[in-house]
Amino acid sequence: MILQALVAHYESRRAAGGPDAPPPIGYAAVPVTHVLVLDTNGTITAIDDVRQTSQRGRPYARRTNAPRPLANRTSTTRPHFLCDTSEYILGLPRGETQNVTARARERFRAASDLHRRYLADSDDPAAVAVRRFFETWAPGRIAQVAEATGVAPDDLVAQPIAFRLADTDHLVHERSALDAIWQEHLPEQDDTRPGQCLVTGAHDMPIVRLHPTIDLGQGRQGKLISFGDPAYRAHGHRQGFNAPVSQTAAYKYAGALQHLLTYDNGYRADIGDLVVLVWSPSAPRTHGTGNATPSGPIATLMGALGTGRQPDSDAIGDIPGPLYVLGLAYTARSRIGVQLWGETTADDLLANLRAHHADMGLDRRALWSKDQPAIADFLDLAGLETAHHGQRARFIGPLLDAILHGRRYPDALAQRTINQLRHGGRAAADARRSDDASGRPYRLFGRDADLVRAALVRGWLVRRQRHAPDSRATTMTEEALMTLDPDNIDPAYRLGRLFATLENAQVTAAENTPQRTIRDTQFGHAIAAPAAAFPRLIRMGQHHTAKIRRGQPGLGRWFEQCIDDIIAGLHEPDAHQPAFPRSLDLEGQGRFILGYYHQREAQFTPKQRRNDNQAPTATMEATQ
Amino acid sequence: MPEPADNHVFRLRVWGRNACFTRPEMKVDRVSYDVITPSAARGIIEAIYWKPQIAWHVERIHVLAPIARQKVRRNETVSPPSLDAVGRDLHNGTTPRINIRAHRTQRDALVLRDVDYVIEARFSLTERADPPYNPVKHADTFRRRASRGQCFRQPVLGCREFPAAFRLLEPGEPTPAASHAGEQSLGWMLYDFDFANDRRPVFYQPVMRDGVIEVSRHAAEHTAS
Repeated sequence: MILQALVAHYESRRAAGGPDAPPPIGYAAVPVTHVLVLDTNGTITAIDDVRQTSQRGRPYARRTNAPRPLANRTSTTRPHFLCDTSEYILGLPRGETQNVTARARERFRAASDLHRRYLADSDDPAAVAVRRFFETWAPGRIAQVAEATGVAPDDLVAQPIAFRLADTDHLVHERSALDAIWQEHLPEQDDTRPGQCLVTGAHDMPIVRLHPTIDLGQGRQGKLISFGDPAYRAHGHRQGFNAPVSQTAAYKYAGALQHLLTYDNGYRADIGDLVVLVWSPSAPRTHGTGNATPSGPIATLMGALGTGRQPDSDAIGDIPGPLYVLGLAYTARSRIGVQLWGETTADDLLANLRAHHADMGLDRRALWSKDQPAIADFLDLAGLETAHHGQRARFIGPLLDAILHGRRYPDALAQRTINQLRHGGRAAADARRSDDASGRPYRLFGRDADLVRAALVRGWLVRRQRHAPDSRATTMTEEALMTLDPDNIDPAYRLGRLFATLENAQVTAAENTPQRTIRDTQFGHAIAAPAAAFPRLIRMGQHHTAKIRRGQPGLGRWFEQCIDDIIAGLHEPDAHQPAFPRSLDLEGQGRFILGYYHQREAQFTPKQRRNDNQAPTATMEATQ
Repeated sequence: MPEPADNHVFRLRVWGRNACFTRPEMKVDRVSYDVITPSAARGIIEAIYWKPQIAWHVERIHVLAPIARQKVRRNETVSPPSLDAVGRDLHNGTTPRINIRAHRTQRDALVLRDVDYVIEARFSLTERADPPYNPVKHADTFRRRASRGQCFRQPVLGCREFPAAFRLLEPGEPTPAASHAGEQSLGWMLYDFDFANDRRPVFYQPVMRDGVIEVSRHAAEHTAS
């Protein structure tokens, strides 16, 4: 369905028209910097510089839809029709060495042959002008033309050039007579064989051998469909004949992708290395005018996806019908791979985004002192910073897929996040790194970084629970996972709660707020080997509560009661000693973390609760 | 060719944790079709029982489970082992080898997750069948093998790393309900390969109605040319 959806998008955008419509069949959007103005005899009367200036004052090329074959031009000589580099059109070499000048001469000759052949029979004045140009031009004449037009030859080296007939206001390749000539010659441009096109189902279509290149920006160019290496072929077919796509369908899907990939059009969001495109056959057009941010429902949806925030459903309005989500990334060896594909509806998508927030507990504003975390932040906080790009790319697609379709979050991502949480003292490191230029989460989250990690763990556990096969025994229901459940007997959960209580005791007992608590030093040990760690932790806790009791007897008793209650729930039914598990599996570690954070959330002492109207107290802050 | 006396349609339930019915155009970084192709369905049935005397035709496919995807990234090699090289090694007495490190690449795959289908198929006798034409024999053999879980090779869901579990549905047994409702067009999908004509791929445009795809009807409409 992917190619078919793209082709449908192309056709609907072509039908709608407008300046940002995709190029017609046989054309591709290419840059042009200079235009040769010809008179009717083919002489250059002027050279226009058609570059535009960006906001920062830098010139950039104008884009035009020029006649192009599907396949990319490689290093072999192959002239383009009517719009090409100065090497081909003027024979202007790119350097001074012998090889380079010889190659320029050869390329000019090829261009000259092609144009004279194609334009032989036309009597359109522009066609005649171009033909006469190629009949009379010699590369050596560049100097005198430069002098006459005031353009230095160096400015033209390796620049893309187009033609214009004097006293007209359009480029030669935009004229309908020349389009007719190009369409006539289009079938011979690409290596094709007849077959059934798998996009349209039509029989006896010319099937292309090589497919067009897709540009994701920042140098990421590759082919969506390619069969470069021997391992990818089957039944002895070469290249594109492994997957029959007609020439027309190929132009259409490539044109559609170019259209969707253009930022200004409002269909694209980049999440890490993943390029996510969202479109709908029935959504009203989005409008992008130059540097203004595109508005419109799709663009709003994209923004929400990228940042992970709740989208404003009024801004989205009503998008009936299917919504397509395509995630593309540059994989390897000049390939663009599909990382994500979904056919959903706007309503489902919005509902799933909301569910994502709810499952992670992200809607509880009280926890976030700063911005809401974006999708990419979850990856950063799982230890997959941009530096580790190879690993990171593995996770974006599945995480986004889980969010979009309401499915389980990837286990591997949860594992990494739990690992990060185990290394206590991370919070201090995170706060220090806030000055570091790398990584938004540290800058924005600082001490909250661990809360974001805990949110991911919570969401992971909740969805794991929800999608678990019925046969699995469960110790914690979905409701229990969302907020503190004092009666729950799951050992890992209770241990997490115990740890939080002991930490609070430690902090309360200390005279000066400690820089490091057991969260920094003992967390990893406690979560990995509870049976070994907890007896000592409890003993230490007794020292702390004793000390508290000396100063504030009521508070001391309160702490001891809390600790006793939690430990009581760890007992086997008829045993006298509490049972500490020797180790916890991944899900158990997740529940431990959940218990820890639930308890912290809920356990401000009565005095701290009174003080806590504006912000967390000094004691809580220091331990985060 | 004489048709079998009982034009019996067998119903085989197949399921598995993952499946990849690779789209031909996304063969490198694989993307699976949404549902099983008739070609893959035929492959599963043939793995259970096939002889040159019969040819299997997939009539109908029931899609029981929702369509869910999962992305995996695997290390693979860039080229398959060369037959010539292997032959030479064996001839020389050395162990044939593949140099993984020199030819490695990573390939993504967007595969299906937790699939569950019922394949309805029947067979017909081919030119290779000799008189006396006895389709009952073949039918009984298939029934016996499918019931016992016998197969020539492990049936797979598209790619060999995704094994399929199977169970034959008894004649009176109702077909399990699909979790899909309504009509859904699946676009152009691979129907099968035309082995009579250069192994050319043939495509058809199935529509899934309440989880059921009438394969034979769609195929007749679209491959008539």
